[in-house]
Amino acid sequence: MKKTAAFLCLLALATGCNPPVTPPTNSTGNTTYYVDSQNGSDTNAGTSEGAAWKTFTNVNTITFAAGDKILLKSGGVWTGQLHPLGNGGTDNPITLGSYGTGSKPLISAGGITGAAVYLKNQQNWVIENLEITNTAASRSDVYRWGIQVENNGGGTLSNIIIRNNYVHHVTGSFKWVTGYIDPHLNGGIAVNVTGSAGTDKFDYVVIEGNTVSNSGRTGIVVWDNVWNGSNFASTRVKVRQNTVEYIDSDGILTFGCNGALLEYNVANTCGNYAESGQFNGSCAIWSTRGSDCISQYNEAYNTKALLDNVDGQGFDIDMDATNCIVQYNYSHDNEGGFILLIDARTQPGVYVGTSGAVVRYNISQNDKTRIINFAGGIAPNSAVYNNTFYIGSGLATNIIEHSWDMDMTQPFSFRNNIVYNLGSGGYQIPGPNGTFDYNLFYGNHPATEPADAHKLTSNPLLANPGSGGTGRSTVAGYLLGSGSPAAGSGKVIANNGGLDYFGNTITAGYYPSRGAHQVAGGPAGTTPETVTDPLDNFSLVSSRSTNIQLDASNPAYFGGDNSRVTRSSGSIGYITYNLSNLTSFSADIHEFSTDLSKVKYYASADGTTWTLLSSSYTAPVLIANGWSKTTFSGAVPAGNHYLKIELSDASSWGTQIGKVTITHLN
Amino acid sequence: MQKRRNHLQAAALCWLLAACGAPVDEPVLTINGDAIGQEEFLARMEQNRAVVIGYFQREKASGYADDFWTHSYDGTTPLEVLRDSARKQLADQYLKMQLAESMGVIADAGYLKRREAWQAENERRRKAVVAREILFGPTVLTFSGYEKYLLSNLENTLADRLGGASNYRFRLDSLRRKAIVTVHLPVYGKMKP
Repeated sequence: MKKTAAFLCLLALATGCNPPVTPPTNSTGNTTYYVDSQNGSDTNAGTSEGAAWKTFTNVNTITFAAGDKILLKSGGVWTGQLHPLGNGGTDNPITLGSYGTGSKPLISAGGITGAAVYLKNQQNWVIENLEITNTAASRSDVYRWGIQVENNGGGTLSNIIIRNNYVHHVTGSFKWVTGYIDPHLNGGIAVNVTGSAGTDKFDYVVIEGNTVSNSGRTGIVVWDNVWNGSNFASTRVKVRQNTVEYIDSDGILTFGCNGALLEYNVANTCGNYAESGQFNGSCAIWSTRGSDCISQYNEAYNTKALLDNVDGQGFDIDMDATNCIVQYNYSHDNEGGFILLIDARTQPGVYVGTSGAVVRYNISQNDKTRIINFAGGIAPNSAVYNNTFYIGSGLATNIIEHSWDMDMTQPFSFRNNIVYNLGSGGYQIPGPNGTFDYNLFYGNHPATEPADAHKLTSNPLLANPGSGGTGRSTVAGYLLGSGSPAAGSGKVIANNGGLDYFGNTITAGYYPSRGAHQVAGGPAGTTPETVTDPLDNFSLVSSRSTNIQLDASNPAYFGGDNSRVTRSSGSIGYITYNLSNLTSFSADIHEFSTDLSKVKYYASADGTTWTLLSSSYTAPVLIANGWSKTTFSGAVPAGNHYLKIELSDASSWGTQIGKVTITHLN
Repeated sequence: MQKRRNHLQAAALCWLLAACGAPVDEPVLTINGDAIGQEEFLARMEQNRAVVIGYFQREKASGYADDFWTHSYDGTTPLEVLRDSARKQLADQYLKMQLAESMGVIADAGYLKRREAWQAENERRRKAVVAREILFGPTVLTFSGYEKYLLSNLENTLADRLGGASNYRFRLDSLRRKAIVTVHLPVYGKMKP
């Protein structure tokens, strides 16, 4: 026997063949294993290029350890599933990658159920530099992935890096299928918590530099199924510098993550498929269920809205999203619009609703249907500011729409934006409590364009509007030209992120511009400004008592004024204004009973604690039919930002407010 | 498309195409007179390689043996399918670029210019990584990835100029019906992955 073995070794040495080796069950770590689909053999040791394995048989049976590398030869082709076992170390992960030169190693899984590359309850892995397909004849009811890293009962799993892979033609199901959680979890690249224990989560996931194309349902997803509890949500998730294109539904999605960062990605033609009878809502890049997620420096374009896909936007802040931000993105040519904002807190299954959404310093060019859609009611305190929206001629894009109405009473704000509207669309303003202020509306002015106390309508002198191409850096046409009225004429907005779209600093204490390009104005809070409210509506009124109403009757009694504030009852009624640094006020008052002591003026710094103001008035002038008009005026001490006008005449109609004029420092 | 670029393409192909055995200055096919060189055709075949492998795996239970590309599966070889897919896709792409050139949207979309632009873009990205600057998308773009990125912008522009997506599709369909595609069989038959 020994002579035979010795002979075989000599023969092996003479011929260059590798003697058969039984692979270990467990790797000891810090070992590199080579797999060569053409010239390897599964009876080789696998630990050198010249003695590489051939198939995945050994790779799928060994439990690997910290520092191991499993490298597939460039140019090689494998079929079936790659499912290596084991865990790396925190600073010494296991790497699944490639060696040699040429095309990326190709794993052609052939439409298998599940993932072409699959890890389960494993951590400290790097998966890189592979080409992966998993193509079936039809999507049907089978969930498929290119790469899936799954956590089901694994507790907290850390350090998953997926980078520089080309994943394409993954035929994942579009439908909800019994036995699976949700079709959004399957597609190109997925890191999924599928367990029902809230204690399962991922911490530190980086998905970067990948290209995912012609796949579905989702391009790239990080999903934590049980997120709503202390320390439940996945954390330190970064999805960056990826390209997703021709994706069946959503391009890049995080669900159940706190602090996820989606940045520098390009999403082209998402929402590329729809099935009759299925849920077809799709957006390109978005986060939902979680807090403090940021989508920034991305480009999303050509998203489709097929069949009954009522979405089709480039971006989305979706349900149960707290304090999430969409900033510095370039959105263009998306069939469903720029951004979707969803609250829907009264829906079953929604826990806390969406609040604190911020949409700032983005550029939207030629997005279709609508720029902004409020759905499921209004997410409270949604703030849309310093964006530049361009709508070219021939488009009918509405700037604001709302759908799936629920609570429409919540406040939101739309400030410092440039709306460059050459199209025929208008505004469907959701609810009565939106604040529109310091915007520049240029081009066409539909009747539905909102009132705005500091509205500008002059040409913003953009360098070359409408000239943006493909690529975030192609939008130099949205820089403000010399002499632009938008420059330095915006409202100071606290916590604005400190940068504009182009990376320019927004200097605190100075007036910002309107739109996405910052050109600083003068020091803030020093410019006297006069605001006149004709009280044709309540758009400039900050708040009012419930018995306040407008009266349009008998304008001849009121010097032609066909809209005055009055009350529906004899109870005390009031209107308030909120403007920074008030200095003085005046109000035209129409009196029937001439009891001017029933009109009082108050100021406040915070809108809660009020101080009675001194005022004087002109001698009343009789107009007609017993009605007299007088003008009150008074100064407001420094430090006050709220003015209240109170009516307490026992007659609900005997005292009416015609016009209010306020000066303040802006 | 400007035909004078073809000789430049040929010069660049010498070392790369020796294995194919075809004279390097001969085009693989022409589309309305514009020649598609061997390098570009091979690049498109490389791009489609995985999809064809997947198709035969799924539909013909082929696996991936050493003779995969030349093995006949029900009278068709994967190599034939691969060449055919490259031909159709390049024909369509060139029709779009010819339309864009005729409308003044692009000046010169020749293959060599596109390769130069792609290489310059990757060099810019390489430098950005070194300088720790912001990058969008992968640090290294494949040529096909770069082309898809540019072509999507081109199509949006064409649709705008022609008054909408449906007008653009109608015009493209018309061009497809009228296109003259000539396959140079001796060269075409030598193209292999």
